[in-house]
Amino acid sequence: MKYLGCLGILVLVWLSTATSLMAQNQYQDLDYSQQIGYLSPSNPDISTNFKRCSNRPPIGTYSSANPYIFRESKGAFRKYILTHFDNTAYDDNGLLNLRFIVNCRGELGDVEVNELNNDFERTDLSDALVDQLKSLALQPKHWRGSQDENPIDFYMYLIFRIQNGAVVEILP
Amino acid sequence: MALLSKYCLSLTAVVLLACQGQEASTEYKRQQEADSLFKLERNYFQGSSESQELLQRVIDLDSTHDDALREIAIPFLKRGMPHLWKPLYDKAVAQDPQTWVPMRGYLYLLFYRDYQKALADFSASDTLTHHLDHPQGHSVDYWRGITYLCMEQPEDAITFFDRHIAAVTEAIGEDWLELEAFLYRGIAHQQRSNHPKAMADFEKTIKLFKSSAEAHFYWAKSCIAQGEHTKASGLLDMSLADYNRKMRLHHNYVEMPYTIYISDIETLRASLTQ
Repeated sequence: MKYLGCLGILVLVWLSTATSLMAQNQYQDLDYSQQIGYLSPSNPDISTNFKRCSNRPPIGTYSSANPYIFRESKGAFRKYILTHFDNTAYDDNGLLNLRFIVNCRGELGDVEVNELNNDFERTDLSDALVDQLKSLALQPKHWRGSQDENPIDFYMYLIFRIQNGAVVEILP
Repeated sequence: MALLSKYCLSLTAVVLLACQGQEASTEYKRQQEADSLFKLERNYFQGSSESQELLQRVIDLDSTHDDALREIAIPFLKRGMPHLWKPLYDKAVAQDPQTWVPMRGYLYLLFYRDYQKALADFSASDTLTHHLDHPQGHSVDYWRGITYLCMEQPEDAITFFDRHIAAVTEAIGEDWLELEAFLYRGIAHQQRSNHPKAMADFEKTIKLFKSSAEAHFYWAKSCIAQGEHTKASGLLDMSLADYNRKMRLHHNYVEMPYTIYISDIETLRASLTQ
């Protein structure tokens, strides 16, 4: 009987502790061991033998690398995408989010792809649509490497807003 | 026996009150510590591990700390991670909708060009507070004007720009208005082919702010529509000069609506010679 009482108390203490920890951890499902925007070098690369030029964090996280990162201009980039993207086979709605590094030589790598619905939740867009936009956007010819005498890397992201399979906005 | 019961009840009441008092005191201390840590966070680079972990500690101490809930979400916004930004930011909105709903509307508009969500938040702000909200320093009427302009509904855009311009002019004077209020209203008039009114707004932009690549550019477009090619050519020269001096629409994180590029100036100039 005495052991049962002790066991009961232990269970109560465990339940109380677990509830308290769960309440504390409700916001702790994100990993903050790296700075926000971190891209893993194990992500796929676009340029062959892609390597970062610097061990320092890339430029373009606190304040965007947009518009300076575009080799010509954001306007020219938009025009290129809109004139080359063939949307006849798609009826998707949502956002295609690409995050990547442009190194000091203008090479691209460490690419992350997120397919989202209009409420910014993960979804599955048509593979062919995603592949086409990736291949159009992630070409080194669109991106400017470092103009600085010290080799630095740039962080960049793109969001394509897709409506009935067509690109209606290119952000940021 | 009855007396003993009374003593027991009194003792229980005293213990309960003491516990409640201690709980309130502990809660107050946690909030104080949360506020101190939130102030300390400002010393760290936004979005760094140190900053995010400190903000997480603030939230663990005080899950209602809307400033920390908002701040921990912002790096995800600026670094293009909408799927991680939104659930975090919405927690700040839930704690203080009066402050963060109109601000979320501004973010939906400029960072995501989600016009319906932006308008829904601007409309909600009308009933959440008794005053006109000013997210990011501009009235929701100004932001609604831009939203409708982006939606290519120039009549609605003009309605809200008129209201915004009249309110600021009456309250503190015309020279306190932002360049974009006149520029964007001018573009809305231009979209309705009301070129005299459009040109008046572009001229006002230049009168108040001296330089603007976009004001000169869109002014030139209206001149061309009115057949004034010589004047348009001069305006395009000024647009290019302003562009090269970086006197153009700019935002630290996103492209502003109706931003122009050199290729736009060149294309419009080419149309003059055709």
